[in-house]
Amino acid sequence: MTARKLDLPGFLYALIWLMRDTIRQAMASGLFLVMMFITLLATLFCFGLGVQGDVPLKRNSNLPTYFLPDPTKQQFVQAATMVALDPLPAAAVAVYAVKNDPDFIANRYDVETVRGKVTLAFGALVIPLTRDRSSIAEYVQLLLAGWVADTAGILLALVWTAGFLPTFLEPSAASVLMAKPLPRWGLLLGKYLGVVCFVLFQATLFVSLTWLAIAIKLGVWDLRYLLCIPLLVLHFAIFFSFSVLLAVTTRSTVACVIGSIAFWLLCWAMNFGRHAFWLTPELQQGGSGMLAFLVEAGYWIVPKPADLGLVLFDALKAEDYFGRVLDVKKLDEMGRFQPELSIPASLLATAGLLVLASIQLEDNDY
Amino acid sequence: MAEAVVEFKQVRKVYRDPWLRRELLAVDGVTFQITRGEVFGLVGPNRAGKTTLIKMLLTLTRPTTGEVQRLGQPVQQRSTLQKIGYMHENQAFPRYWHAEGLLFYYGALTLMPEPTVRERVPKLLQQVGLSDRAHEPIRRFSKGMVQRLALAQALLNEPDLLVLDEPTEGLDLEGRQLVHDIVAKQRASGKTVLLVSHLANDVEKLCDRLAVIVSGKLQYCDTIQNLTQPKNQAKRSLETALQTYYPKTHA
Repeated sequence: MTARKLDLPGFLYALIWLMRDTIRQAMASGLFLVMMFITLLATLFCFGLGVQGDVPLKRNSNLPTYFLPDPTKQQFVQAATMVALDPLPAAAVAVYAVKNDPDFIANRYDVETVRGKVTLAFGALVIPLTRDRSSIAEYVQLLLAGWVADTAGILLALVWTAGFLPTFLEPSAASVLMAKPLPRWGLLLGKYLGVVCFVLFQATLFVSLTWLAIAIKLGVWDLRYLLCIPLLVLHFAIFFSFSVLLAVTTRSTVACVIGSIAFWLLCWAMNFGRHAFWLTPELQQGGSGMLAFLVEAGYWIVPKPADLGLVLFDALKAEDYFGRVLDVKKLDEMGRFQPELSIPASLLATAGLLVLASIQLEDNDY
Repeated sequence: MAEAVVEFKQVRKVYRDPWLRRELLAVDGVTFQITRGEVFGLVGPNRAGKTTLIKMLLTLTRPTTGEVQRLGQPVQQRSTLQKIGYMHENQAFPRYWHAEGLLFYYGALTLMPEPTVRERVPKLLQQVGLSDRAHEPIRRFSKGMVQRLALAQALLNEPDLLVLDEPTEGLDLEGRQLVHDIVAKQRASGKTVLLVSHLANDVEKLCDRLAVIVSGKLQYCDTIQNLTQPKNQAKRSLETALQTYYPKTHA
C-alpha cells in the first residue's frame, strides 16, 4: 500500500470524513429532523406575519425613539390654521380627557397617526400597531435571535449533541479508530468540528429562512439580523468544548448534559456578576481589593456568554424594545466592556478546554 | 535471523483505579517476539491478559514497564500503524453508515490516498462476500456480516501485520473458511498475522507458533508441534495440551 504520512492534505481529508461521520450521526439520531422542524415552525410563523396601515416613521440615531416624518410646509400651515381657527380648543381637550380618545384630537386637527395592525398566524390574531413595519421586523428578529436561538436553541443543541462524543468514545467503537495512524487529538478535533459545522448549518438555515420570510412578508431587508449566525455558532462552540472535556473524562452522556448546562449557568453568572459588580458602587465600597481581583480573574478565565449576547442585542437594537438588564453604555465608559478583548479571551478558553480534552484522551486506556 | 515484526520486552501492565485505589496486574513480565511472515497465535483463558497485550501493541494502552516494538519501531511511533490491520473482538461500527461508506471513512483515518481506497473497497467487499450489500445500512447487518465487514476493514490498507482478535466469533462455516483463506493468503504473500482465539482448532490449523498466556504471565512460546507432540510422547490435540497450562477452573 502507498500510505501517506501525516501531512496536511491527509490530515484535512481525515477531518472531513470525521465531520461527515458526525453529520450522519446527527441525521441518524433524528436531531437533524427535529432542528429542521423547529426552523420550519419559525419560518411559518414569520410567513404568517402581516402589517396593515402602518406609516414609515422617522428615525434619528441620536434619539431613543421614533417620530412621525416631518410635515410638509403645506401640511404644517394647514394644521396651524385649523388650530388657530378652532372655536373650541379647550373643549376638545376636555372631550379627550373624558373619552380618553386620542383619535378625537387627531381627527379634528387632521393629525397623522399610526393606526395600523399586525396580524399573526396568517390573520388569525390581530394586534394594534403603534410603530412601523420595520419595528415589527426588528422585534420579531430580536425574539427569534435572542430567545429562540441564542437561549433555547443553544441549550437544546448542547443537550442534543451531548451524546455524540460519549458514543464515539465507547471502547468497542473507538478501539479500531484509535488504532489508526491519525493522532487521538485529530479524532477529537474532527468530531468537534463536525458538531460545530452541524450547528452552523442549522443556525444558518434558521436565521436565513426566518430573515427571508420576514423580508418577503414585511418588505424589510435588514442585514443586521444575519450577524447572529456567527455569534450563535461561537456561543455554541464555546460551551460544546466543555462538553467534549466531560465526554473524554467520563464517557457519559448524562455527565455531559448536566455538566455543560451547569457550566453555561456558571459562566452567565460570572459574566453578569462581574458587570453588576462594576455597576454597583455599594459592592465596590463594601468589598476588598481581593474581591475585585477575584471577580476580574474569574471573568477573564471562563468564557463570557453574556458579552456575546450583549453584542448581539446591541446589533439588533434590543434597547428600543426591552428594558436594559445592564447599563452597557456606562460599562463602556468605565472601560469595563471590551467585546474586542472578551470574545477572543472566550475563544482562548475554548482552545484551552480542547487542549485539556486532548491531553486527557491521550492518557486514556482503551 | 528473521526480522522481528512484534517485540515485547519484559512488559508489565498494571491497571490502576484512582477512585477505588485498586490495582489489577494484567500482564506480568512478558517477553516474546513475532517474526516476519509467520502466523502467530495468542491463546489463554479469559482475563489472561491477551487483549491487554494487543492493546499495548496498538498503542491503545501504555505498558507500565517494559518495551513494545511494532515493525521495528517503538509503539509510540504512530506512523507504523499505517501498516497494521486490526479486527476487534466485539466490533461496534457506527450503525448509520453503509458498508462502502464505512470503508471510505476508515480509509481516510488510515491516511490512505483516496484513489487507493476507491480501488480497494469494491475488491474487499467482494472478497468478504458483501458486494451486493455495499449500500445497505450496517444496522440491518447480522453479526456474521458485521464480522465480515470488520475483516474487510482490517485488510483495507494491505497490512504488513494483521491483528485478528477472535475473528471467527459469530461466523458460520463459510465465514470461518473465509478467515482461514485470508490468513493463508497473508502468509503466502509474506505478511505477518497475529491471531487471538479461544478456538484451539483455529489456532492449530492456522498458526506456526503460539504463546500461551495465563494470569498475565507467559507460560509457553514456541511451535505448535512442540506443544502437541513433546519429545518421546504421543501426539495430542492442542486443546488437551493447553489444559496443562490453564488453571483447573478453566479445564
